Amino acid sequence: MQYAILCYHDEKVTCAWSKEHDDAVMAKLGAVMGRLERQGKLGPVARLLPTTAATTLRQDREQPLVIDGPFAETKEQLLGFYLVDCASLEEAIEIAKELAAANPGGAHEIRPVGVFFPAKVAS
Amino acid sequence: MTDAGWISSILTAARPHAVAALLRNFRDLDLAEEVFQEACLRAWKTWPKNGPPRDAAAWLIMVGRNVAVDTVRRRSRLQMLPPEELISDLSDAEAAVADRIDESDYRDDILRLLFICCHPDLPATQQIALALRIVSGLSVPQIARAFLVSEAAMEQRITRAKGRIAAANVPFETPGVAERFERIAAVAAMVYLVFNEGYTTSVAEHGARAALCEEAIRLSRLLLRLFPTEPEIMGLAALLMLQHARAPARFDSQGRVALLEDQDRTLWNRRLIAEGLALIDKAVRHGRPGPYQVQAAIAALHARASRAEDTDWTEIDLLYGTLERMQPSPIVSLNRAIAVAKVRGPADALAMIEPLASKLGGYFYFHGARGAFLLQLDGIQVALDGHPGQPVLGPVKLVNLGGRGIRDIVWSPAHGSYLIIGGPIDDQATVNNPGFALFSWTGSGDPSQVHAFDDIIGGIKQQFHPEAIVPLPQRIDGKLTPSKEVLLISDDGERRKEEEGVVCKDLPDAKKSFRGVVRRVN
Repeated sequence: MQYAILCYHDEKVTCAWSKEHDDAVMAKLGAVMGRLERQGKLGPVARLLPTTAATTLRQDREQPLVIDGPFAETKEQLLGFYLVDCASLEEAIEIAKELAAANPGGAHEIRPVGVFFPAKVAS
Repeated sequence: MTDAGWISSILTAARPHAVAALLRNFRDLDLAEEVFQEACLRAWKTWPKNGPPRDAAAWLIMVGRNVAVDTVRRRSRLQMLPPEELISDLSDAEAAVADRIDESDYRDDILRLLFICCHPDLPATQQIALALRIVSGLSVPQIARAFLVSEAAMEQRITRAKGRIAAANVPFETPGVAERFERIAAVAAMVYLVFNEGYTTSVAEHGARAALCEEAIRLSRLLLRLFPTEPEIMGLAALLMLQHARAPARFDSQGRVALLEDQDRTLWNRRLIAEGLALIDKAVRHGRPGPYQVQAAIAALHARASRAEDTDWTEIDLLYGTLERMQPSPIVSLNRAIAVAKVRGPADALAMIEPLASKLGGYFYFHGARGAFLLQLDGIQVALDGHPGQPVLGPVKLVNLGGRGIRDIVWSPAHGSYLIIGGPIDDQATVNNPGFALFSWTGSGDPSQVHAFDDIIGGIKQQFHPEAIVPLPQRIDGKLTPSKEVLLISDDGERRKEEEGVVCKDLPDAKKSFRGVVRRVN
């Protein structure tokens, strides 16, 4: 069984971290991830940039709507995520529109990735 | 994470919200700050035991209000409040406060707090100091260090700023839409000032002042969370992030400023660049361009070029053109000329900056840019005057002085050549400093062929910084004729005179002196 582990944290607090503190947290995480990786248990890992950098494509109406920021209403839950490599925000929005067309309703949050570790899990 | 780590992170994050709300309550900056400090002390006492509250800002606001009540009660000698532990589990009470204060209340509160700091009565330096003290919560010694002034001077600066604010009329009513936008613009300008204050050109100061850049980025993120759909705020945040991302590459190993073109781009902070690029992409989609967005877009083009030669100068030229229309300034035009030189050549760039000479004559970078354009031009005389029959300058010649720059050059009739003092580009450099040396050059033929005289200067043991060379005449049969002797004059401004105990340039004029030596150069 594979599990997605989604990290939630208060951005106001993480953005108040000093660089030293941030580095220390990343170093500790790196140690844990290193162990999991050696055990062949680690899939792709991404650290997302703050929600202020995010864009959301809402498709609960006829014309999809692109809005700033994360999708804030809590009646919908995060069901998974895709990792795509695009040249621009425009391209990412286009891909999100295709995904949305295949999977209508709800919203897709387009959130830039800050740190990415590729997959190493034995599948 | 240690208690100290998570508690101080949470307090830092909650500070603008809590101080801003307390200010609205008490309408008194000093009181708001004082009760916030007290609330923080109580947090340090109770949070390690009870864990952090669900909404730290709401907790601090509530405890802050209690502190104020407490203070009033103590003053009237009525009764003490119950011990802190009994009221420390505030989850219910705090939820009530949290429900009443939503983000939009915070939004105007924090905007007001920031706006107070950029009150037009305050000079820029006081605005920045006040914002760092009140909004960011930096201590006076921290701010003093960043400004490179004494703590006493900074304490005085902040006290003076607070005094002016108290005397001024601070608006506490909720701003209208137009007013809100005016405040956002003023606050954005102040945040940019904080950033620029930290953006120095000296490696010695860089360490202390970089903290200001980081604080400005933190403030821009705060603004961005309050106004997440404002494209100019996205632009401001992006601009600061993209510029600060280059900080690790701005100085070379000898502490000299590295120009953008020469920077080691692998040292740039990729994560800040990614965030800055994401923000400017978002901002542009709004189709409401502004000066911060345009400047961020220019910074983004530099960030996107993995090598200096990949830079899209055509686009940068267009963006500077846009910026010139939005915010006409000779500095913007000068920057545009640098892009123009890359796209259309140095002649066009020179023609562009010629009208700026009267305004930018005292600006160091104007002459630097003008000199650089002239050097790129073949037929330099055309650019200088364009009149036939006038003295003309030939093509630029490079003389090889072994990595040194020219400190002085003089024609010596007795030698039939030029004598050149070559010196290090940076006297203070401790690595790869070639020292001073004397050269001769015929002035014609291959300019890279110069003759070096060993030990004319190197033989002088004391700290000697020759900056001028004068060929000396000799008297033969009562007539002055050229000789092979020269006078070398040292710049002794930095030399410490033992009997005085200070460097020469700091002495009173009557005591200043320099040394000269006479050497025969064969």
